[in-house]
Amino acid sequence: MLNVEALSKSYGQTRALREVTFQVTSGQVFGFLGPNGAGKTTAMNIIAGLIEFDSGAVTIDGMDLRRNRSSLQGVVGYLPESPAFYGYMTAREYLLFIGDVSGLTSAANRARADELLDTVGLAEAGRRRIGGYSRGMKQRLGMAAAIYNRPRLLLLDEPTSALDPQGRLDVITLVARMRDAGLTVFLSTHILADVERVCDSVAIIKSGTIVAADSMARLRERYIQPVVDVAFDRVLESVPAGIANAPHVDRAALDGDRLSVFMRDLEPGKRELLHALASLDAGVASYSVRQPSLEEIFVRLVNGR
Amino acid sequence: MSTFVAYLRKERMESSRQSKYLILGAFFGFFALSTPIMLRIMPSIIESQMPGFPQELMRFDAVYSVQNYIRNIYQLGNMAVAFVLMGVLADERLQGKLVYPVSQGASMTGVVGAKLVHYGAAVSAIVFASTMLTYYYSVVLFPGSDPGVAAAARSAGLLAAYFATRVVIVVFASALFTKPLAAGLAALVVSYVEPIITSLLRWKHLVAYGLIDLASKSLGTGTGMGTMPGAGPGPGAVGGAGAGAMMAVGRTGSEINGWVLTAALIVEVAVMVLMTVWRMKNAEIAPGAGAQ
Repeated sequence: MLNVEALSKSYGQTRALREVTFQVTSGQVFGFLGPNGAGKTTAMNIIAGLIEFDSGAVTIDGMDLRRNRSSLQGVVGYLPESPAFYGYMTAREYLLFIGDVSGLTSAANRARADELLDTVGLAEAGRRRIGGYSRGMKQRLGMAAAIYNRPRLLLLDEPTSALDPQGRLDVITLVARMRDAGLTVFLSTHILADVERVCDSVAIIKSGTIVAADSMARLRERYIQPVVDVAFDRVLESVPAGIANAPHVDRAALDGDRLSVFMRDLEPGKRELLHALASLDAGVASYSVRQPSLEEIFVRLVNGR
Repeated sequence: MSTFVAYLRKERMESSRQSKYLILGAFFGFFALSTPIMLRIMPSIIESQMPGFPQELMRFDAVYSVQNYIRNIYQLGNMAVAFVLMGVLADERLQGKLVYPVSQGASMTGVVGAKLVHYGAAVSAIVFASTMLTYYYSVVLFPGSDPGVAAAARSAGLLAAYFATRVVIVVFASALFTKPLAAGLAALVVSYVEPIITSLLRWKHLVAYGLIDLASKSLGTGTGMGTMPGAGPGPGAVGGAGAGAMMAVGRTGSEINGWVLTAALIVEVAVMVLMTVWRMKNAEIAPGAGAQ
């Protein structure tokens, strides 16, 4: 669906993107992660056709963005981080305006506006002026405007960053429904829980460079170091030698009566750990294999830990 | 075409709800009403303040009254148009309001075209109506010197055409600058400097300021302060933008050919419109582009 190849963009002396390369498969939700200032919005603005780029190539549905800019505009829907509307319009008027721009017939336009106001939960507020909307309501209206023209690729730039937990859940649920309806979603965010909840694949960008891009499952396999957490019935003075020197244990961190054991390889490491624990005179209060999270991958890749 | 129609509707709604029509109408209407009234009461004011002032210098007629309005509105109307319309494109770019329409396939030619047509028509209509209003009150307050409805309508039409060209300049400046105030000031500088520069180069018959000159002349010769007997209608009646504009009118007052001016203005407006569209097509419209 989307193929980005060696994409570079500079603002004066600042290199916002450095040969960024990734692919997004049709029908999936693709998470685009990175700290603030990493280049996420720049990349999205380029893919949306709003700004130029210095070098590289962007292909959407097999069409080169530079050569087919005008015909691709209706293919891509874009929700910017802070969507801007005409505050004097009502939400319904704004959606009808977007429909007019898209060339929809009057009847189809009215039906689509009402359908989307209902979808994003603004049916009641749809006849109030946008100037009086909360940020969350504007975000939902922005989502409706972004999908108004039934795009095949939807770009969402930090769609949940300004929302309360219920608002976040609503947006993520909406994203999942769009994916189920066959839409390809490109989701930029720094809220990792949202990515874990809905994304199929992820790219992590740092200082304009992609540091990892793969499916969630493969990223977990490749980047997450398995950890076993053990709690003892008393405080230990040091990491037991049998654990610290086990061949498949990378390192162990002791914090009072709690021990985190970082494995090189989980399965043989677990067997070695159990043997070592059995030989200790301290009692084991609990033993658990930590669930790997995207946050650990993110922190490792972005902070180099 | 769908973009043009959609933006035409949007601009009408925006102007109505943000009171742009009201502001421009009130501004031009105020001067249309106040100019003849001020001229009518001026002799009494001056007589009470300066008892020995020669009475023959305070005899005004309707033609002078309308010409006085044209002079006032050239100076102040330019400010009103520049400051009310300065954000017409700059504001949309600055705040990222074009992101949705453009990502939904809006054509920049349609966006620019709709804004030019809408504001050009709105400003022209307001200027035309206000000039006819000042003509009506001038005739009522200074009976016996009616230049005629046809002459007044011609004058109003020329003044309206002049302000339509100002709309083109403001929209062009608004495409060049992302800060609305910078766009407004740039358009204002062009409007005020244009008669001075072009008169020095003897090009006044090729620029929009020539329309102001023709608008004043089409009414005939007025009687009032500063009108020199036998000197023609130019310098006294239409002072323009201060001394420079007065000099401009004085030097080339009778040289303007309407057809040459029309042809020159069509070319100038077409070039500016094309440059505005080109600029908007190449401008980065994403909000905060460059921030990351």
